[in-house]
Amino acid sequence: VNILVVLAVLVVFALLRFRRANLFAWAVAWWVGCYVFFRFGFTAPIPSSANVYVQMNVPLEPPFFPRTIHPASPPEITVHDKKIPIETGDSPFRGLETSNPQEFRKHLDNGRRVYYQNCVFCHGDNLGGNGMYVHGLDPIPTNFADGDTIANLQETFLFWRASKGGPGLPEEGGPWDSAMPAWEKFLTEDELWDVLLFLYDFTGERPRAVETHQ
Amino acid sequence: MISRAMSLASVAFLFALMGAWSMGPTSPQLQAQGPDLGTDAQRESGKTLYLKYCVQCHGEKGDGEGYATQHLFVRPRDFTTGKFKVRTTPSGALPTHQDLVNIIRRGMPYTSMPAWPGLSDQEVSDLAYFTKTFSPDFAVAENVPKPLELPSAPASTNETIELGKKLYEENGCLKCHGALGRGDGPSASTLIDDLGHPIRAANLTQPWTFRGGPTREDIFRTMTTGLNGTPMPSFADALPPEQRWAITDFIASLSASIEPGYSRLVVARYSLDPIDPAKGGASFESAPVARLPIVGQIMEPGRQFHPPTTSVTVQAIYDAESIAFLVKWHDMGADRTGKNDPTLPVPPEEEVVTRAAAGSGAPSGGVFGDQEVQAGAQPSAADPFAEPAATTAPPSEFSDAVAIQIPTATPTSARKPYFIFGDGQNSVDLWFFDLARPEPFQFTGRGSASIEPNDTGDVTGVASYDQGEWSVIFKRPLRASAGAPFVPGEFLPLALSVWDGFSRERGNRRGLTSWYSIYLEPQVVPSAIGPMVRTALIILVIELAVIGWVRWRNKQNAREELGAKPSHPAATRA
Repeated sequence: VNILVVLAVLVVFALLRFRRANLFAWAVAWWVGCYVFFRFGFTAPIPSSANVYVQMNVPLEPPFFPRTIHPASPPEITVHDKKIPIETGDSPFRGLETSNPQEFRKHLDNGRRVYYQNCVFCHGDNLGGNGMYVHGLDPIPTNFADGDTIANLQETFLFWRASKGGPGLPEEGGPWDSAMPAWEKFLTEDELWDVLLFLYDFTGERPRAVETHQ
Repeated sequence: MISRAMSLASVAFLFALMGAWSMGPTSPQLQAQGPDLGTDAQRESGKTLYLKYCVQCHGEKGDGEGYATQHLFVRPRDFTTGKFKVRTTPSGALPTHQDLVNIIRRGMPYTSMPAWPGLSDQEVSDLAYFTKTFSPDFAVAENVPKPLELPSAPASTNETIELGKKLYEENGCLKCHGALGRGDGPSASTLIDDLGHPIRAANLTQPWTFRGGPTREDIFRTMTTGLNGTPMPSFADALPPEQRWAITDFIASLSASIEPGYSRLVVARYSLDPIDPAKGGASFESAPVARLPIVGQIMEPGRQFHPPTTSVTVQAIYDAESIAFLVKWHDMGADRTGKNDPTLPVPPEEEVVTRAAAGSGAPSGGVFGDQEVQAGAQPSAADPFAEPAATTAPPSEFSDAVAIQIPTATPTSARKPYFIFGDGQNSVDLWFFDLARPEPFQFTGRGSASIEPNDTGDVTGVASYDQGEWSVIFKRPLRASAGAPFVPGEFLPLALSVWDGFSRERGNRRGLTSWYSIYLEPQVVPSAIGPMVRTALIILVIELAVIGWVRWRNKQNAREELGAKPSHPAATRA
């Protein structure tokens, strides 16, 4: 029995009695009161003790942190002493795709090399976020090949994530748990941009366009 | 006439074609006769896929020299040799087409060769056809592989396991795999493959890491066919199938499960007896075993891409004053010489696995390091079944080590220190045990570049090494002057690191875990029976009271309606 519910129903009835309600109000009150009593106020002894048992035997779960998966980026970051605007910036090599395809291909190949020498262990051979160390990581590495994640993000956002890694996440992203390295420690700025070109090329995705406010 | 003869000939030709067509794909005889190299279109399609998915590791020439090779251990297969490990064919023979398809499909667990479940059957088959183009051996008719008959597994009994254990010892399996199968045999540290690269004997107690698969059929097949290009020989000629099955049963009996069953939580049990590390692992029998995966430290400079340790088991107990951890892992040798320290620098060159000098048979540094070079040069490396030349291993430059990491202060929110040695705002307390020393030593970590000694003497420990397994006990008061307190009924973040001195692991070159949790199970786990009975009784009493009250009211009303004399007339309803 949920005492509070039963008391609430009784109080309503008492009020109705002293207000000298008409027959219609009484009928409605009986209907609603009975429904509330049986739906929320009534518990048989055996089911309720089963409920007690279930509540006392919840499997132990380590504390859960509800992290934000793609937290807002800072407006600007500094990588290798160079300021990179995140919201308004763009990959310096993206334009080569149309203006100089041969040069673009060189950057792609370099990005491919960088990926398979550094990223493959967690993000996987087919970029599916299923590398050989996934079983030991939480949060798990991003799946680039799922068809929409990187397509929804600007290249500069990925540049921020790759260059600053887990330690560069804001609080809501849980920077203490993320195994994403701050790749600026290992890679040059060009290598970082190149590997992002490779991610989009391999998966056949396009980066989210830079939004211009005119 | 001529046209008549021509039409007859063409009809006969058509029939012959149809015959060949109807036999072609179904007849095993036809397949077994010539090399199965696929069509130009299949190889071309395979090439396209290879250049997208495989070339990064296996290289454009198929020689296993791709972009990633410098960081990989086990090294990618060199297809030009025609030597493949996982096959259904006799030792030294080429694999069948299906063998190649299977290995692409399933991958090799705990290596950098992933499974490819996303490719279609057609695509995997095309890839296998293209793989064959790297070695001329596949085109030679005499080399067409004849698969061995691999029956399904007979029942395993205690007798076959006993027999298997005997045969395992008699046939020299323990020289590499160790007496208890932990990959710690006397020859284990000297093993090299046909190309002179260091290689490790499988840890038979961890079937989830078996390259060819964990089932008894898989183990039997590996023992029957051997692993080409490695020191693992075929026992097809040496042992009859029953004996191979017996050894298979023994190997399968070494592990409780073919799954690792990784945990995220270490539960510490209350111990009625005061904790005494000198008693060893026996005190921990009641505590549940948590297996935690170890991954390479590839986030901070001084990276270790393939630590030899792939998991540790952790158990914990506590009493009124202290808590104790028992950490166990497998290591093919105890390195008790040299030194180790979480602050030791690692030069960037060591991140790269250097290519072994071709043909010299001696690896040059890299994954195993200098000692391996010496060890690899010993004649015993060529034949793992020869008696080890030297019983005493050369002294290691770096010793084995292990560390438990907890936050310096109990986290008040979800915020924890960075899992690699903490960060500037939130530091960690590191219980570092250099296994060349008698006692652990504490450090305070504020990031990899800022680790300082901070030994309070609170953490004590005992370490022992037996048959390929380190067992290390740490003990600390529940509340100590450094490090967060352990409180019964509460969680605390916990992480571990393991260093293998033989693989030159020190400082940030190591295997580590992410943050997991330790929970101290309260001394008395409240039984659910009491609260259950109490709830049931309370509800019963309330319900009886309600029913009684309603009945009493009914009786009262009935009496009034019957004109019975009310006890208080004035109190009747208006």
